[in-house]
Amino acid sequence: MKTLIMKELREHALHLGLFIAAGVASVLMLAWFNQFDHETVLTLLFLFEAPLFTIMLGGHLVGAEVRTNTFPFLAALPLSRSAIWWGKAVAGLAICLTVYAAFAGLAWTAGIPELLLDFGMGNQTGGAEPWFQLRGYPFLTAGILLFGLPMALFAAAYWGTMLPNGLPVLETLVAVVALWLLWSGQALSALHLPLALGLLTIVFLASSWLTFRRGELMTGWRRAWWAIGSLAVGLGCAGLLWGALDGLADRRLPKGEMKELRVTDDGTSVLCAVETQAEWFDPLQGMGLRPWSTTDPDRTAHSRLLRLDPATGRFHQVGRRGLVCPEPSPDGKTLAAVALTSWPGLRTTPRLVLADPVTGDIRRVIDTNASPKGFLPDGRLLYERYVPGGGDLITTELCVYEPGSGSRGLFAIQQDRGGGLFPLALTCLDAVMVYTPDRAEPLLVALSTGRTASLPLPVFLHSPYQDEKLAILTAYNQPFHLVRPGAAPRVLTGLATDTEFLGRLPDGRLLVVMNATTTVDGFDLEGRVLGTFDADAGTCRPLAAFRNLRLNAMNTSLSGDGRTLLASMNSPGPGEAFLLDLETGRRQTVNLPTRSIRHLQPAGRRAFAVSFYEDLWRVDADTGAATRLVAVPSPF
Amino acid sequence: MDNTIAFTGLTKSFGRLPVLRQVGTTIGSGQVVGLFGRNGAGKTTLMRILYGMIGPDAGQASLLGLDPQAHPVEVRQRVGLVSEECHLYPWMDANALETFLAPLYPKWDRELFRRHLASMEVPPDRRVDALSRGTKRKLMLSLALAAQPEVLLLDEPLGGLDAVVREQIVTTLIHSLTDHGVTIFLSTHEIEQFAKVCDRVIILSHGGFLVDRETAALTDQVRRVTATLEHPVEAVPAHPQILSARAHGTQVEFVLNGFTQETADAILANWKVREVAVSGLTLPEIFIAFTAGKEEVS
Amino acid sequence: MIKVDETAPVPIYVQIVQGFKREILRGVFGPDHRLPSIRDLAVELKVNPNTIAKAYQEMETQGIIYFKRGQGAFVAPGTEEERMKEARTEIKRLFGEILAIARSLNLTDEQLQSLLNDLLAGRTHGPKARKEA
Repeated sequence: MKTLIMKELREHALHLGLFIAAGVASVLMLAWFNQFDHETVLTLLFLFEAPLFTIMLGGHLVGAEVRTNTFPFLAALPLSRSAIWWGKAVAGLAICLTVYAAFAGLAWTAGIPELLLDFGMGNQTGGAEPWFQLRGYPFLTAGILLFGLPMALFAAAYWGTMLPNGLPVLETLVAVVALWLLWSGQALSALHLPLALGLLTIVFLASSWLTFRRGELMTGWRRAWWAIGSLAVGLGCAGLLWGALDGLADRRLPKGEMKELRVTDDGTSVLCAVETQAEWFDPLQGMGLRPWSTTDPDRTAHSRLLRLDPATGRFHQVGRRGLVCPEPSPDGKTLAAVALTSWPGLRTTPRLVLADPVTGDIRRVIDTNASPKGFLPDGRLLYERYVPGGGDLITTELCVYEPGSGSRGLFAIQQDRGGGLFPLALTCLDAVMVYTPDRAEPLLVALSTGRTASLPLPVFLHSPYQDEKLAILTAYNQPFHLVRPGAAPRVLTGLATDTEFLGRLPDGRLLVVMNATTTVDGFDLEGRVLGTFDADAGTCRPLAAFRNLRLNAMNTSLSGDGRTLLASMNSPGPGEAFLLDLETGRRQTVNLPTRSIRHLQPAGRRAFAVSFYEDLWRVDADTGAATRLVAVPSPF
Repeated sequence: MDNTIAFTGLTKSFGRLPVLRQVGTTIGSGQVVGLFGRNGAGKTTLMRILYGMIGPDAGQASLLGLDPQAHPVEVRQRVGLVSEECHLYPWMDANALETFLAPLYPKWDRELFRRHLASMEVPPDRRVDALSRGTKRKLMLSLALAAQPEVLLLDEPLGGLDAVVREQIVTTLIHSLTDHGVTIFLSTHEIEQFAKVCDRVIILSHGGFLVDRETAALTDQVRRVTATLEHPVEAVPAHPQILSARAHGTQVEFVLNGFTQETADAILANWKVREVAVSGLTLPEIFIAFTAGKEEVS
Repeated sequence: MIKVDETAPVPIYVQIVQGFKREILRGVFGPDHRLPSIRDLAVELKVNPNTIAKAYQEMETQGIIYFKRGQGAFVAPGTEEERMKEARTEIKRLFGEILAIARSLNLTDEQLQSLLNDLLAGRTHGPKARKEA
């Protein structure tokens, strides 16, 4: 067989020379027309010329033999058909990879600061932007271009020669043009390109080998049926393999990093957004997703949604991997999320969906290229939409979805490379507060009309508390602002910045934890006590019933019905965590582990969720029982 | 006789066209067998099946005891094939061809190759596409013989060549017969070229072997009977051994396959005969007698 | 010399045998004369050596030649009488063919006889005589 390879190389040495000469000539021509920048050079060489040459060579290897009628000679030699096939394949691949390497050298003269030599697994080195991020074209790595693509093209062209009369030139050109158009579109971004190219290459090579091995000479349509048939079978098998790998990867849960832990309803159910590493065989390896500023770029990582099953105490995946940005609805019956994948093993344009909160089944697709920003208390969903304009411009649009009526756009701006609006819903005003980079003040967008008005407030405020009557806004080290319907926003200068707003008591008063000075035995003691907030006055007053209760250095939380308070020291020793019945004043000790508490929050109406750094606990407001829900951040 | 070349029940159809129908024979070592058939009779198909290039629909073939489809490499290292069409790479010359082919054959003899090129006047450094048809054929024969095959399959080896080249090729074949004892199976539709060279003649017609006999026996056993009759006749009655017949006035003439005096007399008994003459036929005439009037489908 | 005509309706080996017989009769190959080797004759005549071998075999069977191991084939010494007998047989056969042709041309025996006499006369007198006849 070695002699056959040498003969093939001698036979096609002219091709090699011509291809390289053509590459050099075209680069020189670019220089002449002052277009000698690396983008253009690389596009011309690697996305047009080299694929064309590869296809020509692959088609020529067998097709030329048939057309010049030298194939009977080859077929009559003491060489097995397999040896002939291998000899041509090896020689052809060697030549076309040489062409690619020569082109890479040519391209290097055009100056690529960092030639990214990763092999298509999606890791990016350095912070430099890859040259192939051309106007929204999908990501393609140097590895794919240098190895995967030429091999796949060669294999396809080589296969084409199994058809009678080899591969006609016209169809070859059409194939190249079609390929070019595919790349211009977003079609290839749906695939894990290295895996797809690898499978395609193997299928084409296997099909052509099977066909070539048959004893018939290279004529006749029986051969064509064999080639097409075996190709179809091969593609079917590849597709099945793809689906199987997808299924396998979906069912496996390797260790991941928890991004978000949410306690839903009364704390028995926990929703966890986890970023897990994609496995090497996963067909959904991140390729070709343009990173939106608000969605997970999801390159080699996947997001999964996990739900703690209260019955078994184990985590189960909610829906397919690729569900990100979960937002549970207020009634707990729906989940809004962004779905990045579709079945099986294909990425899609990110879709905003409503899904079942337990199984993750997608019930409804609301919009594409959108991410949810939160449910309003009445069940409407607020979300942002991203529409790419020309170049790097993205139009971000604020929309609201109403079950039964559909979606409505409220407000839109155009930004360079996106950025988002950071919307904050203010239920008391039935409006959304948004921030745009060109303004110093936030904009208020009315939910019903879409009318905008400027708000005399500083930017980037968050809301520690809001309900239908008012909203408290603040930022770090900023004074509180009060927003109420029918009145202008007010700065609450009289309020200490470390005041905590807990929630409404059953009688409607707003409970806070405030600083107060009390006199005990003639001494003035600074302390943190319970109080109420007067919206009209804009100040807080301590609660008389609990003026002796010191809550210094304690985490506090008010139950959903406003009747019980949970208070705990940061690392509660015995007796340093307790429940307080606000009506009766009775205290009940809660046994929590002596570890640093990260966060306390109400869970449902009669329970609390206590987040430690290592795990999550639930405290029942009636019994005071503390149960460990789940270990964090590795719940597996 | 050993089974240097042996095949039985070979059947091949192209589409609905049956080309070979259950043909079979055995050829022993050192024999030279000529396969004669009209254009399109299926000679090339049979050669290709024997060489393992295509497979039969039914039947088996064996060369040197090996199935050519199951052991293509070994068979082709020991069996040479020269066909009428030149399929050599046009850009190669004899030297390049030797470089390419020599490693494929364990018994390749470089000296022998050069001697054949010299004796047949083939220039070693001229490209194939610059050679005349005859020189190409001689080159192909040299290549085949350089591998020192035990068997030679020749498909129309003298087709379209001038007399000088034919002579050179026949001489080379005779040499390879005397010096190397090679077994030759050749096919042609020009029978007179090989009358001197073939021990045995097989006539292929309509997919079957009409004749499979030693050359001398064939010439012996096929005779023409010419008779002058008393009265004119219209036609000669049919007889299984009559290959062709003619009646013209008082002259009748028929060709008998497997001539015996008794058979001739039996047929002549149909008429009153004045004169009878029995003569032999040349091989072309024998061939025509066997195959004339039956159009081959090609 | 031995010549072979592939277009003749006579088997090649028979032609070779006949050719040798003629040469022996003419005295070109004398008794114990060594015949050319099968190989050399095959190359010279462009005939399959098997056919040459068959011819030699046939001649040996007819007693015209004999083989000496390792040395080849030799003309068998035969009496003058045997040679003449064979010559006569051969001529008789040829005459027979001529006769058949003559009859088919409707020549009478007398016409044939007269022709023969003319030929014989011309032969003894040479070319000059032929002109006269």
